[in-house]
Amino acid sequence: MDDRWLFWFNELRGADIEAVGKKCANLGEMTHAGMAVPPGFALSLAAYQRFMRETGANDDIREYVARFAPEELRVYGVYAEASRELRKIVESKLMPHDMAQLVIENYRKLCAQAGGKEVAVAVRSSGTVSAPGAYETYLNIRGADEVVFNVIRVWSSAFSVQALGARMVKGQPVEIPGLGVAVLKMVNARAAGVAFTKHPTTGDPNKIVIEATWGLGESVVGGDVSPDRYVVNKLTGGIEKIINPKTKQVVYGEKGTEQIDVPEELQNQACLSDDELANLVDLCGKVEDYYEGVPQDMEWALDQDIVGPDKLFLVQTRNITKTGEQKTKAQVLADMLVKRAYGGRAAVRKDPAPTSAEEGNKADA
Amino acid sequence: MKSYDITPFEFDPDYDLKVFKVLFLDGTHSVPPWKPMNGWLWAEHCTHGLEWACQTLSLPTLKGLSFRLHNGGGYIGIYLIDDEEEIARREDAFRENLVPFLEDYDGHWQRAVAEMLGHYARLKETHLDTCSEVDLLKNFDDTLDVYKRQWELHFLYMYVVFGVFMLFESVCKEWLDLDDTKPEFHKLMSGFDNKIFQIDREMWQFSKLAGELGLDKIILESDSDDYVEKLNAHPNGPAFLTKLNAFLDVEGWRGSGCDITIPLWVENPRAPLVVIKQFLTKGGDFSLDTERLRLAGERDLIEARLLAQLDDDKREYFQTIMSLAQKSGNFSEEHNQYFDLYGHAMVRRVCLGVGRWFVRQGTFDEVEDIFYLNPDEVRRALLTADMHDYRPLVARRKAEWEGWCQNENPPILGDMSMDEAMGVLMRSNDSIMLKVVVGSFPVARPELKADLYGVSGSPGVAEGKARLVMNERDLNDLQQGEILVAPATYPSWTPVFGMIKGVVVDRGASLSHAAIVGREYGIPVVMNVFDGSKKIKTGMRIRVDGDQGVVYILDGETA
Repeated sequence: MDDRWLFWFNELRGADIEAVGKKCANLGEMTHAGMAVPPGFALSLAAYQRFMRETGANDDIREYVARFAPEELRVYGVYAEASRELRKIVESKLMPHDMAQLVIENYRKLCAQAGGKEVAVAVRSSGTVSAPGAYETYLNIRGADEVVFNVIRVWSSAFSVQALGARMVKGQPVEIPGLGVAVLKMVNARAAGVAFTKHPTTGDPNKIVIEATWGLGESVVGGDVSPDRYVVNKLTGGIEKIINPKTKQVVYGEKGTEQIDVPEELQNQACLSDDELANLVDLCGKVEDYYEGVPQDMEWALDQDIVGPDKLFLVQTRNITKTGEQKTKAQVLADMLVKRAYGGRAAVRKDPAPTSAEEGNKADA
Repeated sequence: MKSYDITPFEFDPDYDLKVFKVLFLDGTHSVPPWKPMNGWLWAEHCTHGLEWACQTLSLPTLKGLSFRLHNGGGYIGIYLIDDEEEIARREDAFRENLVPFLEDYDGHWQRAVAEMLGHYARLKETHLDTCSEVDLLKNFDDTLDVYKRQWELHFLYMYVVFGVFMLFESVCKEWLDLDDTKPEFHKLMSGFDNKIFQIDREMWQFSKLAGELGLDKIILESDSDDYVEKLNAHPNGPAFLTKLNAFLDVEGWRGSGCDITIPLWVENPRAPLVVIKQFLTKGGDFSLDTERLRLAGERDLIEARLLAQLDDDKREYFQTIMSLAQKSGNFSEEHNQYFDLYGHAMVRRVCLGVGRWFVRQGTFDEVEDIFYLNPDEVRRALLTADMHDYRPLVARRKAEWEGWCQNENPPILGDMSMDEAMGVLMRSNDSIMLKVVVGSFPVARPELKADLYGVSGSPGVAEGKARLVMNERDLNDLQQGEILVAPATYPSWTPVFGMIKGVVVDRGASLSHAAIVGREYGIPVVMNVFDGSKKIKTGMRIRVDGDQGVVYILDGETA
């Protein structure tokens, strides 16, 4: 890898975990396998190390930490305060000029690929070890300067309360070897939804169940809208479809997301054309094969900036069960109970906590 | 110094309203107002049981329901979880925690019952009137621990069972367009035998035995206070009473409700003898058996029809969910016997034992004065009882409690209209709050031109003479074919349901006692009318419409 510290996903493979972190390595692997993950690039751990060293952030951090005895930092109140200070230190630094230029250049390349306008990206943390929820992800970032700034914010999240706290409590050092960053195009979703490559309530492995709605996938994941529903028989190719009235959709706002009304003429229209459905079913097959036949719980989106089959993106996927065996009836009933009696959020779709071996199977985008 | 008059659960408007915004009166259990011992024990242990169950199961949106005491009323504050990430995490854990219960509900339930029966048996091994004061204090503390455990298991099972019930309601609605406004729905839940009905059957058998022994006239004609004396005067009487008492030693650990100040069946056979009298008055067969078989037959037909409507995917799931949900009615009744009633009976037992001790030691004058103390005061004085004079304390508490009884506690605490409070309640989506304790507040439907608006608990329409029953003594006067009107009904009243045409209660919701038993007996029940026991007097002709959930007063003349 020599002096380079920025790589496009299609240059990376799973073996590059140590260099760029798990998420980036996975995105590389999936891009290579032809799975429709959004385009983007990665900053390696070396980039983090260079930034922290050259800007003097490391020195300032060490100076701050020296004020405390190690046991003091194990206390919640103390490390919470330290987290704030350390993040401030990191975020106060400017990226070395040549680094910033390279990031901006590659962001512009990404925009050009998407037709030239300023695209919205997600700037995501990519650690070498699983630490779900420890580091930060920033969504809906637009503009070169914002991208540079948010890369620094992801780096500073190495010192988030949760991440720092986890290290302090275990007696580990304050500093970490490094943190990768993934910068990837956000899908400008015309429609989005979920797909299960086996029936989520009956466990039938020969059925694919797809739910679709207008806008971002948030409404389906949240469970508040009645989406269109398709049940596809893998063996016969038969399709059952139910088109539901879709009155609301979630879209990007100035910052973050917001819920707006769906135009009347679209409310009773299917979100997926026959071609788009066929494409999605195809993707389901590819993803399931990629994970050795383990049924997948996928989030997908159709990008309105792109024409043709390439508009379909895989946003996220995870294993439905650990070993591919069907859920027991009691497990399915528990899923149904939580979803129906407690308005389950991603209830049915989330697995019991995956092992660290499985973390690598998650391709967050 | 009166600092110990304030319980750890006293309502503090400044603090509590910041935390909860609004608190709801538990009208099912704390009307009339609790005496201090009752309120303290309930607030502490019931709150604990709820919080324990919420965390053990990892209920996604609820951390607990917390009781606060205010003028003897128990007010419930809801600890809801807002943070979406925390809810999602709890959901994952909840799903896993549910699986063992869904796999083998019966096995788990039987073990829980066995555990509690074991605890009760162990507590009874100490003979309270002959043991040392040290052992008496130990039994007091042990009993409260058992009481606490009872509440833990109580809510654990309640939340599982109610969750299943809500799942069932959801699939009924989505897959079959069936909901609890339709009689068919209630019929699916009816026709099951359970421990409570088994006890009723035993009481009926005692009524038959009384007849055979020639004791029926005595029972029918005496006042309930005279039963035991009159029966003992008859040659067959003592043998009958011995048999009855032996039965009560096992099954009589129950009062009217979860109130430790109410006498237990095992203390005095007067209460069960009232029940036996009702059966003698009614005569004939144990109607519940015939009724139950009829209901079970109807239910089978409805089940078969509904299952035939479903496609393969759903049928098996519906069957399993339905049979789990059917256990919820069973649970509602059985848990009374093994958990609530028994647990409270054991607390009453040890309180009276301590009360008798204090009287012997001169700490106060009446055994029942014990209910004006709190547990810490018991612990403070028990081992040195003759050194304490709690008379002034008892007098002060008694006066205070009598004052509470003169005023009605408001249904909510908090600066909010009833509508807003209802909104908070609905948003909590908590099965216990919604289904049992508070229920939906009655919605007036003026187009029906009814006199009382409530919620339907059991379908059907009936007209008849009203009988206002405010307590167990009044139950004695209930006649065949009357309509029972009460603030609430208690598990030990089940036998009378076989004699009456309908029920109107001030408080309750579809999984509360009156509804479940009404459905089993096939009589209309209207609940949550709030003012039934005020507006209706004994002798008025009324119509109970269990389909609409309303009551009409046909003429105001009292007979």
